[in-house]
Amino acid sequence: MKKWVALTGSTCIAMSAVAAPMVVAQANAPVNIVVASWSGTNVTNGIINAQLAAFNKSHPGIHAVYKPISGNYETILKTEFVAGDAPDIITLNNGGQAPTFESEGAVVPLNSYIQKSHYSLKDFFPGAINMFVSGKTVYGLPRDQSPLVQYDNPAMFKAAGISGPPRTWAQFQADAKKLTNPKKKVYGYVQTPQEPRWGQFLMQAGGNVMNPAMTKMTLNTPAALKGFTFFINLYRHGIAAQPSTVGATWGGQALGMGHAAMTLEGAWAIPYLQDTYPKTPFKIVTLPRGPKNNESLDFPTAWAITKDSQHPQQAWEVINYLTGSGEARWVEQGGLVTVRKSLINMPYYKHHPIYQNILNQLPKAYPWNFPNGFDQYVNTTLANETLLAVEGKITPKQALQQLQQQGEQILKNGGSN
Amino acid sequence: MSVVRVARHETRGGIRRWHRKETAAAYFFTLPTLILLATFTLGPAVYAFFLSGVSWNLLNTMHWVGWGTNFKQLLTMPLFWTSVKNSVVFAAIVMPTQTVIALIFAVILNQNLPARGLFRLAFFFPSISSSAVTSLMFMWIFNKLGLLNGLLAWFGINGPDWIGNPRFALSSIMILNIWSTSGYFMVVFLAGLQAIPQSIYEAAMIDGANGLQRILKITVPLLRPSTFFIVVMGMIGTLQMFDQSFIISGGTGGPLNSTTTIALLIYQEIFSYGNVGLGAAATVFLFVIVLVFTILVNRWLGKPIEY
Repeated sequence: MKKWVALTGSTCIAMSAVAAPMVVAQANAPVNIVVASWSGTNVTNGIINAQLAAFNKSHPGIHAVYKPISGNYETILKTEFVAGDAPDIITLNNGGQAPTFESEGAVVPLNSYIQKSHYSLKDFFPGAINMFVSGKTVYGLPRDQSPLVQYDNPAMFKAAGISGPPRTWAQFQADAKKLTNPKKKVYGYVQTPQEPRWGQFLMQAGGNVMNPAMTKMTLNTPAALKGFTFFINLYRHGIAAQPSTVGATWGGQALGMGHAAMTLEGAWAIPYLQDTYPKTPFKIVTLPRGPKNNESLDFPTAWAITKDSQHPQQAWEVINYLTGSGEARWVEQGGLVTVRKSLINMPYYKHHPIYQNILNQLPKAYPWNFPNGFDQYVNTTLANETLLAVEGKITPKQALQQLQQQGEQILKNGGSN
Repeated sequence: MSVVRVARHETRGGIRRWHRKETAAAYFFTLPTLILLATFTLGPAVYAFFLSGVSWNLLNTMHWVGWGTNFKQLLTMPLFWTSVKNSVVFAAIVMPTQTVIALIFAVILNQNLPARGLFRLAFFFPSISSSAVTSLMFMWIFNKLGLLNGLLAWFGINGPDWIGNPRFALSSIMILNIWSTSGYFMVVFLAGLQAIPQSIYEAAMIDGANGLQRILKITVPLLRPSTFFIVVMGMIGTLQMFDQSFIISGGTGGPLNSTTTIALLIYQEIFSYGNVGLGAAATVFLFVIVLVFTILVNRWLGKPIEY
């Protein structure tokens, strides 16, 4: 009994001894800033961790921590916003997610911070920054990007007697035909029939899914039909296949498995192919030219400060550091591409020539984006109508009519369905 | 001591007071569970009912639009009826199949067979595995170049792209679900079988009943309490199927909405598309369906056994 009392007593004293300095420390403890992003590859996570560690060293008043969100990134973020407990800094994604967070006020305008810090936006590629600017309000500063580029298997090209990568649609089609061998489960072109993999064909024909201001659907134009029909016909003629036909889940995997001679992916496929399929040779080229141009889709991401942040000023300092011209170069190491024009000549790219054609594609890359309210449209409607056309159940024209009509309906309802 | 206590309780007021004290104590002891139930089960259920009358996308401010608006929009939505069809077809095929398979295996494994324990473990194993893991496993089996098509190729059959083809995708998930739940229900049936007195079988054998007759006339009717439990649990489980569709279709319910179940649609509407009101309305709809079916099953199988 006595022993027990003594023990409790000493524990209490010990605890208070520990607690006392903690209280003192708290008074000038660094401000915690939580930086969130979807959990990517180890490389990506490693880069962010390293950047934040370096930041913390040079900024003793701020302690930034990285919080990778695994699973459904936007869904989990939304639930954290509902709880009023979102991270201080989040990563805005392409494909319509950024406009949703922006127009609902989940992320705060950065204009005042940009002004105060004399931060220049001029160095960013327009494709990377424009998506996060609405009118004159800047909601996010670009983190990384990747345009869609063409991945080739040079061994297959050589075996088929094709000297170089296709430079026009006609060559693309002809090459895909030569490279296809259904018996061996090899197709000239393997790709999921999703809009972020066919939108560029519309642009190359002079059309697009929506107008640049995203206020009108433009799928009913002859140019859009031309680009879409070209894409659908690749499948109808049997020279393109869905990844699942060859037992893969995406184009990059099909290429790595040796079932695809060509596919379209972003820079993210580089570390994947090198690590997972080191024996499969691959080459990256800019997209072949359509009737009008060889425009590509771009997939930029950006850092933004949330409305739930208690310390927006400190959060801005973290963003300022992460996107600063000196630090942004770390981004290039994991299948990500720089968002700064001034960095495309940096030594890293000289030592890794595989990135050269990705950089060459950058000036002709248009961000993949949709306005608020298009979540369902982007997630299922586009894919479903395209799949029906690929399977020959409806014509390309019917598919586009459906998509045009449903998109107009969403726009008419004021961006919410 | 005890004499005194009895004497005190003999008066009426005493008994009433004792009752009240007992009730208070009972509530006191169940309070932690009641609080948990109210906070995490009853509360959210009531809240979901409230949410089915609002317009909210999780990020903006919620406002009341009335139940009429949301339910009208839900019931006129083609995708909703696709999901209802998928869920009902799924339940109508999976629930009876898994019940019959579970019964057959239970009867077989109730015999004195060699390596009985090993087989029981093997059949039970899928149900204690994570559904995420088994879904991924079946994605490989059902892959266009996967195990199943490899097997079919031996017989000269060019197997379809099971998961990528809208005609086969839901069936693939049905097979997965039957495989993963039959084992669990088999164990329930096994427990039920042990409770049937051996003497009844012996009496039947003396009367000249053959094996099949013994199963159909004795085993099946006397297993009714187990069957009731299995049918109700199986029905609720299949009508609420979410995880396997979610993982196999990558959250889209594709291809062509062929694997969109009601539960998956609820998730998509609330968390992906920002239509919280619609999703909550679908939740209420699912609750009503499950309730009605449960009441019907209860009428059919819920009676006590009469020997």
